[in-house]
Amino acid sequence: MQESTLLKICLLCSIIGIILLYFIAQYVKFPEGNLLEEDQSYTVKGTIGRITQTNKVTFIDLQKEDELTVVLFKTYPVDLHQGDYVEIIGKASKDDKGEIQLIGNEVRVIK
Amino acid sequence: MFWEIFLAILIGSCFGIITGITPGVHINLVAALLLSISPILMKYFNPIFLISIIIAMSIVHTFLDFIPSCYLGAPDENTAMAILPTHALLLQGKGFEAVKLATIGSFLGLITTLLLLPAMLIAVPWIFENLENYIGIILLLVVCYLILKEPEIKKKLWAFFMFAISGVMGILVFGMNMKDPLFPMLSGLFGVSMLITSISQKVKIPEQRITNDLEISKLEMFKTIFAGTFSGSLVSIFPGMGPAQAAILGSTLVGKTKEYMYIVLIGAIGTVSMVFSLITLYTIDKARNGSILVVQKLIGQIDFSMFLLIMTIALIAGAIGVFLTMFFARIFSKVISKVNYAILCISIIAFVTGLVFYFTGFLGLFVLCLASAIGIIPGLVNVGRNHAMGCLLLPVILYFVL
Repeated sequence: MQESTLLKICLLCSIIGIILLYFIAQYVKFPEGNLLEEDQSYTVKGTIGRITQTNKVTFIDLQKEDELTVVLFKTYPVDLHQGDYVEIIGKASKDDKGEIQLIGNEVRVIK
Repeated sequence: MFWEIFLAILIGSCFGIITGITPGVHINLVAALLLSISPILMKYFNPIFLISIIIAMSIVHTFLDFIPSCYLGAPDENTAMAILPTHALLLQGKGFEAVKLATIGSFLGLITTLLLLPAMLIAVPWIFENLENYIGIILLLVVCYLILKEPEIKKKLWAFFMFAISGVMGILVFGMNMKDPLFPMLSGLFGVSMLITSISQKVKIPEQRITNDLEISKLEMFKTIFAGTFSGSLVSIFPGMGPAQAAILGSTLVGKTKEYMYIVLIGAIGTVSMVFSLITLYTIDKARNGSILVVQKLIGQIDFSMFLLIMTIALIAGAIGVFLTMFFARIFSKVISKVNYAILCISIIAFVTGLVFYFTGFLGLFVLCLASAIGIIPGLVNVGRNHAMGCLLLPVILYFVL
């Protein structure tokens, strides 16, 4: 194979690749759930998948690109239902198994 | 996002130039460094930006790492098996063609893998589940075939001896508590030993010409690229399989061919194994090399859109890799014959020795010396240097068989 032929094929592939990149970049989302750092504050939005309530604590499985567990301590009244799209401000921490969860400070139902 | 990713590809390509051309500097080193500072970087950059850098660097590295292998006699794990045919071409003034052949193999291997992607997404999990138990036996049969392929009884015995002694060394070295045992072992067996031989034979590198002399038929190309793609895929699917073992398998699949086609094969295996690492990350959630492991840690599980993005980055980086490799090959071709080759060899031996000592200490130096001594033997008894890959093959065969 001549060098010029190789370079022509490469040029074609790079143009195709850049065009593909332009379109794919519009749609790709990165999963945030794995990237929360302990002791950092975050604002996350998602749909409530499941709610588990105890006397003092409410656990919410928040559906975004990845599932994230949110823990709300019942220091203020919460009126949340499965399927609610919510915004939660809180701090990331690790549970007993070392998995990241969000300790919610404020919750707002968006729809 | 498009411009971020495009910029990341360019930055990654620059890193790939450094890791590819500099002997001893590996992409895993740079990837691990990026991971260690990722908490700081992610305050300013999207994680996709970081993984784009790592992927582009990894792909470009697989193209450029043939340059030190060919011109400086300093191979890494991916290029060690190609050192003899590339050196032979260098001595004919055709170093540029040797690098071009490797680049053709790398790029066509990449394109073939991308074209076969839909089939690979189905095949990879199947192959992983069904063939893992047989890989040791397959490698053993291939090794026996290669030893018996030597023309005379005396050479068969020397080939067996080379396989056995390098194999025992490999088992002992992997059993030591050494960081990065491959580096001193492969540098000694394939790099330093060859440089010592060149110095002793007072090799002079002739004037290098930028040529397009070597003819490759379409059938030969097809066979070689197919063998390289298949063998390279196994590196990522099975633990314990490295590019060297894949090269042995691939050479058996190709069969009788011109010696320089081996360079195309090795080029294909190197790049295909990297691309396949990305495929196995998506299909079976296994990261088979250090840089892809860092990608896994940064991004976690990847979905289909992310996978498509990663493959597109690989395609663009591959195209960039071709341009960069041809560019640097021209520069090296112009410069190499003006340099006193003996002094260059001594400098490279000193540099590699220094790196080995820095990364692995006195134990690594001992391994380097031992491996160099063993690596000189094939040239003296006129058997293939590929038998020295027993250092990796024997441990892998025993791992699968026992």
